[in-house]
Amino acid sequence: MTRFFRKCLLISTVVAASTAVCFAAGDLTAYRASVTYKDIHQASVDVAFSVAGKSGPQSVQLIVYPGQKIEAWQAGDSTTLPEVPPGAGGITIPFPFTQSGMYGVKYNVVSTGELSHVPLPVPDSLPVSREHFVQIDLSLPPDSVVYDDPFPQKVWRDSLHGIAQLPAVPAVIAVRFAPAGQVSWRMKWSSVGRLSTLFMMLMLIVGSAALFLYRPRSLINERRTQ
Amino acid sequence: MHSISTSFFIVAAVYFCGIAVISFLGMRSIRTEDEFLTAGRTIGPWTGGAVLAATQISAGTMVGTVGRHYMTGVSWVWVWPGVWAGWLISAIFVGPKLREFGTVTVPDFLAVRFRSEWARILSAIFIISVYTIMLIAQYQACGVVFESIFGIRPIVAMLILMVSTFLYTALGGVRSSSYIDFLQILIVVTGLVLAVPSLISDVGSLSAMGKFLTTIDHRITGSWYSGAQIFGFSLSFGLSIAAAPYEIVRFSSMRDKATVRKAIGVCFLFQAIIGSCVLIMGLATRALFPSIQNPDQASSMMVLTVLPPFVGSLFLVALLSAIMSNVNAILLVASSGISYDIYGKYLRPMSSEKSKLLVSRLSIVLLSAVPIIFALQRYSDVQSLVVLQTRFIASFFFVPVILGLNTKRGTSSSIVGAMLGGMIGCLFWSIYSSHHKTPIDASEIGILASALAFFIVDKWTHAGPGTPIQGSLS
Repeated sequence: MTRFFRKCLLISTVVAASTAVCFAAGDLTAYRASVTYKDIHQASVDVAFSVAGKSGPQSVQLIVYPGQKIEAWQAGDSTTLPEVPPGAGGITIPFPFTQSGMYGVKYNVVSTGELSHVPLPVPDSLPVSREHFVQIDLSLPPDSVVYDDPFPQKVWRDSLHGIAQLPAVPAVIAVRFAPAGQVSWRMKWSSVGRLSTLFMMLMLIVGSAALFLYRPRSLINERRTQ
Repeated sequence: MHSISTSFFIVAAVYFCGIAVISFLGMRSIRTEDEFLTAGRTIGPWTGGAVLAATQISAGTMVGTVGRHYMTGVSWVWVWPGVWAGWLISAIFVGPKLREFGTVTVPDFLAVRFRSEWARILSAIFIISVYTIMLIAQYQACGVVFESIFGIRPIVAMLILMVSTFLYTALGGVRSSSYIDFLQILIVVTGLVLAVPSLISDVGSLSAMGKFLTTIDHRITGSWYSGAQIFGFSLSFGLSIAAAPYEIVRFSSMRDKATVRKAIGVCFLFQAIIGSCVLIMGLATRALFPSIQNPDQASSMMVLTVLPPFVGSLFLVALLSAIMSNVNAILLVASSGISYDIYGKYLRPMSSEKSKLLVSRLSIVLLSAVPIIFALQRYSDVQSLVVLQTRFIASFFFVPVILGLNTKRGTSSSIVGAMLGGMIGCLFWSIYSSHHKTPIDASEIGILASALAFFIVDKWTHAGPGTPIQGSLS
C-alpha cells in the first residue's frame, strides 16, 4: 500500500519540479541583525550571518524603497554598492565570497521622510533548519514611543529595545515610532493592528448573531417540510 | 512558544466549545442514515453557499495555494477561472439535476442511472482511494502549521485533527457540519481580508512589493507557468469540482433546485474574496521572507510574524477549521461509500438504519486514521497532492456524471468503461509525464480516454433507447 502511494505521489514531482527555486549556495545556519535608529530619518544596520556547505552566498538581495538611500555600505572588504536602476524595487548584490563561513554587512539607511521600513540583506541561501536561528535586535532613539505593531513582532526588553527570533530572514524591518509627546490616541488607535483586531471582533459578533437568527428559520422550514 | 500561543488556545477553546454544542444539537435530531447524510434536505442558499465554499477551501487553499503563490507568483491565480468554470458547469449541468434526481451519493446516482452495481462498487472504492490522497494533504498541512508555530510534533497535531473532526462528523452528520461550515467560512474570509492590510503595511506598499518580487525573480510577477500548464491545472480543478463527490453530496442536503443554484452563486462570492486574498498573502510573504525552507510554511510565517495576536489566533483557528471542514466533507462522502454503497446496497441491503449508521461512524474512524501514516512520510508539498487528487477525480467522474445527467446515452458497460478508461488514461499519462517533458496534462488525457471509452463501449453494447432520467429516492 505504501509503495503504491509512493508510486502515485512520484507523479506529483512533475508539478513540484516545475516550482522549484534554485539556490546554488550553501545552507544558512545563523543570521543576526542589529538595527539602530539614530533618529526618525536614519538608522544603521549591522548584519552577521554564517553559511555552511560547499560554497558561500553568491549574492544578497536588498529591497529598495523610494526616498531611501543606502550609505556607507560595507560587505567584507567591499565598499561598493551596485548602482540601483531608476524605478527598481530591489537590487541583487553579488557577494565577494566563494567559501562558506561567517560574513558581515554594514550600512546606513537614510530617508527623506519618516523611515518606517529598514531593508535587510537576504542571502541566497536556504535556512538549514526550522529553528528560530534568525535574531533581529532593534534599538530606538531615546524618548520615542512605538505606536503601531512592528514587523516582525518583537519581545520588548524595555520601551526602546526589542528582539525578534524567527525561522527565516526578513527582507525588511517595519516600525513606526515618534517622540513620546507627539503620539496622540488617534495615532495609536488607527494602527492597522488595532483596527484589524476591532474589525475581527465586530465580524464575530455579527456572524454569531446571524447564525443564531438564521438557525431557527431553517428549523421552521424543516418542520414545515415534515 | 510564541506569544500567539496563549491567545490561540483561548480562541480555539471557545471555538471548539461552540462546535461541540452544535454537533450535540445536530446529533439529537438524527434518526435515520438519510438524515445523517442529507440533513433532511433543509439547508438554505446562504448556509449552502458557505458549505460549498468551506468544503472546497481546504488546506490546499490556505496552505498549499499560499505556498504556490509564494513560490511561483501571480500566474497560479489563473487556475481560479478554471475553478469558477467548474462551478458554472456544476450550477448548470450537475447540481440542480442531481438534486432533482434525488440520490444521496455519486456511486448511488451512477448505479441507478446506468443500472450498474459495478459502477457503484467501482466508484465507491475509487472515492475511498483517491480521497485518501486528499486527506494526506490535509493532515500534512496541519502537521506543518502546528510544527512551525507551536513546535508540536506533526503526529500530535494530526491526532488532534483526527479526534476533533471525528467528533463533529460522526456525531452530527451533514446538518451540524453545515452550520459549523457557515461559521468557519465567516472566520476564514474575515481572517484573510484582515491579513491583507497588515501584510501590505509591513511590506510598505503594493508597488514596492511588486518591484522587489521582480528583482527576486521576474517570473514571480510575470508568468512562471506556460499557458498549456495553466490550462491543464485549470481543467483538473474545474472539472473535478464539477463532478466532485464531496461537493455533490452537499447538493442533496439543500431544499430544492433553486436553492442549489443560489448556493453556488453565494459560494462564488466567498471564493472570489478568498482567491484574491490568498494571492496577496503568498506574494507579500515572499517579499517579506524571500527564502524559507518549505513553501507550505508561508501561511505559518505570516501568522507568526505579521498578524496581531488575536487576529493571528483567529486566522489559525480558521485555517484549522478549513482543514477540518474539508476532512469532514471527505470523510462523509468516503464513509458513505462504505456504509451506503458497499454495506447498505451491496453487502447487506436488508440491514437496519441503526446498523448502517454504526457502519458509517466506524468507517469514519478507520478512514480518518489511515492517511496519518502516509502524511507522516511527507511525500510532496500540499498543493501537489491536491493537484494529483483533482486529476484523478476529473478523469474518473466528469464524463460519467455529466453524460449521465444530461444525455440519455450510456449502458452499464459503457459507464464502467468510461470510469476505467479515465483512470487508466490519467495514471498512464501521469507516469509518462514524470519521465518526459510534455505540455499535455494527465487530466486532459484521462478525460479524453474516459469519453472515448464511453462512446465506443456504448456503441457496441447499446440496445434500444437509453434509460430515462428519473429519481430513485425522491
